[in-house]
Amino acid sequence: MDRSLGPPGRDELVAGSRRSAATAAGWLARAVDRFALPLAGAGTLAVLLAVFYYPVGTVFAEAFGPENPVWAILTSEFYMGAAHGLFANPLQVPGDVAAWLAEASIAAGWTGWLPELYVVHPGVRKGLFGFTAYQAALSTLASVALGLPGAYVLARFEFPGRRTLKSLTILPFVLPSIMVVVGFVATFGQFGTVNDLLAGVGLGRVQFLYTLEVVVLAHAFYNAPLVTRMVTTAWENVDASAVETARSLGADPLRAFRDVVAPQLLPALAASALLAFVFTFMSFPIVLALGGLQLATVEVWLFARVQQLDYATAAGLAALETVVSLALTYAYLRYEARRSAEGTGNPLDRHRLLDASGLREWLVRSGIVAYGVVVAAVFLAPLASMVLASVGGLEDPTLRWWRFLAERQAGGRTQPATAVRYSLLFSVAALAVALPMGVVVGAFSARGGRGRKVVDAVLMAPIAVSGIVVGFGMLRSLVFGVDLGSYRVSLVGPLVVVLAHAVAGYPFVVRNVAPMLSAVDSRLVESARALGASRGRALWDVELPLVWPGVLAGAAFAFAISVGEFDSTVILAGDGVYTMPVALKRYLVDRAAGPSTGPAAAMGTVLLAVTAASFVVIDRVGGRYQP
Amino acid sequence: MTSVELDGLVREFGPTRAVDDVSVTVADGEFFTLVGPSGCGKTTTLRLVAGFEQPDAGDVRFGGESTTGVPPEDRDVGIVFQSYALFPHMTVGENVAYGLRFRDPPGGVSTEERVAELLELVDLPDAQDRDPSELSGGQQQRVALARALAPGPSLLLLDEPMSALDARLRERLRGKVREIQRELDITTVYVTHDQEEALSVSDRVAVMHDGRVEQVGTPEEVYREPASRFVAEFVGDNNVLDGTASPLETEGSSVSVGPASFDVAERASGTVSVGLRPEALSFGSGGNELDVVVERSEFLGDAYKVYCDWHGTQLLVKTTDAPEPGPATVTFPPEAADVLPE
Repeated sequence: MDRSLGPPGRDELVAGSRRSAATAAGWLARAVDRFALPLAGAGTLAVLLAVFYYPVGTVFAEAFGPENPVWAILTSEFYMGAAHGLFANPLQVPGDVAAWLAEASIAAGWTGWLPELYVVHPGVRKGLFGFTAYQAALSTLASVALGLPGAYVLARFEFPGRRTLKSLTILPFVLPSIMVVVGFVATFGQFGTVNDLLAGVGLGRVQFLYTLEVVVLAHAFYNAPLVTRMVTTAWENVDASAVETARSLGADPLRAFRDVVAPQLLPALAASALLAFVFTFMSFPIVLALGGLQLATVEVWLFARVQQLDYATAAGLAALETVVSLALTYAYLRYEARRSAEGTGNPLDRHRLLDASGLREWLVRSGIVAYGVVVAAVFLAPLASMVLASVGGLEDPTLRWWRFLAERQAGGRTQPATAVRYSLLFSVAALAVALPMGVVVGAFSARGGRGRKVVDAVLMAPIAVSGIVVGFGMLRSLVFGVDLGSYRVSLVGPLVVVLAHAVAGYPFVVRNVAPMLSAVDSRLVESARALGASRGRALWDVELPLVWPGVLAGAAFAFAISVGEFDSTVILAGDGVYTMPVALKRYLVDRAAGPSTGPAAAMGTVLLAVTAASFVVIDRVGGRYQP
Repeated sequence: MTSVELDGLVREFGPTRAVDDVSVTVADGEFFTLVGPSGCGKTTTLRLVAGFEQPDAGDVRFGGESTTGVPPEDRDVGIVFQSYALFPHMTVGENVAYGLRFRDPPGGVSTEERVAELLELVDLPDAQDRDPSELSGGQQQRVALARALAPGPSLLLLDEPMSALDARLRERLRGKVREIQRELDITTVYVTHDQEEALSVSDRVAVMHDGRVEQVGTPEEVYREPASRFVAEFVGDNNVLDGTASPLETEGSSVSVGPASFDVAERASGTVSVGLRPEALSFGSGGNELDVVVERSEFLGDAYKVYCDWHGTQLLVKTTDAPEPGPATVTFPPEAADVLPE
């Protein structure tokens, strides 16, 4: 080998006489190499600070500021229900509880065939927070009830379309909630599919909207797939040989399930239920549009306070809600960390669904068919009703709602093409910001070592803080203006919307990229670095080419999140700037076209087409998002 | 190419000291091996040299220059891992050429020429356009070696490069590595848990235990004059016996172990540990004679390993023919016994 090496020394180590760095271009390339990653990291932090931590911090400062709205809320019976006594008059609480217990009584009796137990007690006022938690708990129960059988079917049975069904469980993450609202209105509204059916068979129309039931059902629509997905994954990771060992040691199938399988499913079930609770606690468009103010949750009331310009109360509500959701998300993360590592051993054999013998197997399969009918009704009816409503339904097919949109385009306050254009513009711009943010945070998170927990917490915070709170914080800080020295800087409109969307979307990039990055052998990166690549260069040359499906899936997620984002967009976008979801909301309340949901349904169909396209991308490249 | 000086290196992971005050100097062009059981800190030491870990105390110097604050990409080292770590999305040729994106090929040749030259060197001249996954483990390891050497590093680091290969291939490949190292005269630090491998390829060996260096020396020194009981037991098969020594009148000492005793050539007194290499023992009479009971033997091809019981202590004897199980006499000259330093 030729030895062109000079005497070894620091020069050799640091600059390298035979590096291509001799030229100015080479020097620049090297500088970019070296500083790209730190700069991207700093940029990510700056964006997070500017459009997340600073605005949310403003809300908290106001909440605990001189007016102290938090205390006012905590001691108010309207907000806290019976629990307000804990803050207003803690000494009286034991007495109140004792008095309540004294008045409560339990009675047992026979009603017809079954013994029944009555608990008679004086009513307990739940207050706004109590009601929010109550509906979240009901929604979580409904999600588990609807989602858990699905996990059983997907994990234990083999049938054509199983993989497609499993990948469909990811859909809720990309379906804009305001669109689902339109679907539910098209299904359950005064002139919705269900009422049309009832009227068709001669029964009267029923008021479904603005009931707790329809809110809970819509929440289940969103969160049951989450339960299904997480429990299915855990079930598929159960090692068949562990079950076989239990069987050979004398456990019958039921016992083996109880002792071996169930303990591995419970953590996933608990984690998914916790996540469903967090999501439904903070849910906004569904409660706003399907429940109305009489079923207001904290989030909806907060939005109403903002609209009434009662910013102090809004800040107090925002702070308290954020504390609750952060605590729950923290609990979820702790739980998630304890879940067993996936992908060990050989999975359990799946039964063939279409192949049954014996009464028991037929019973199980007929149960599955019944479940399938329920699932089809819950998940397909809203989307089908919406598409149907956009063409006027089956009895009276018409294209006038699409013509209505076209007329709006010609001269209306909310033009559909403008909404589509802004949506795509914002999404592409948000993607351009979210993708590098997500990749950088993913790289730190995957290799972080000591700092990893902190990084994860900083990363998850935007997921745990509701869009309304972030949007409200931005309104109070960026939009109303920030004093920088003697200047008052105010940021509004497109840029802020884009950054808000990026912050909402980048965690999904991270969650797709980080697991794949941490699966990449760290020796690959070290080899590249020993060969002369900077950390950023190794990420670009070695890691990203290996995890590009994750990057692409994350990008599709971020895109879809941005397309569907409603909460902070509705606060930040000016009158002239609106996206598809915002336009959808406007058409939904716009009664120019009569009581019909037609215009909104037509707009929602457009939105469905765009998000379905994102879903196809996610699915095709193997979206592996695991919440 | 360069000498490497480890000076008082310390690396702590939480409460454990993975590397505990390691000071070693590797001479220019030397093939130096860090050997020890898993968890002894040898790989961490190598990673400190490569720059993937930062020392909590001490310094690594290349040719007398401190490397503190120098990131791995600027250290001019080539590294080969046990897992090969070939970039799976690049062809063999692209893998070998990767380091040449950052450093010009030595000798003023083009990147293509350099890649061909290196693949020739590792006997894989036609592998350029193949995917790493198409190659066998041994071939992948040679590509990894070619990749590490392509930019002409001043230091080659090998982290258990043979451990994933089968025994015969391992032997062939380590011969190849040694041949290339001699040809290029490149300073090499080799990490292995396999003491036989360490003895067979190295100029010098450092035996590590619990983060510390127990002994540095040539393979012969380490084998014949172990500096501690740990080295005596770790390097090669050995019988290490604990006993009490008392000097004899003229020369040597007598060591009593339990109810029996034997003579050694060295002067010693008090509690001692004595190393008796199995190949220094034989069945027969003369010199020290130990009455043992032969328990079982293992056939190794060229010899037998015979396990004997000597008053409750196991004694391993390596001979060319195995005795029947039962009482026997083991003999060795006093000079064969090695009184270990405390």
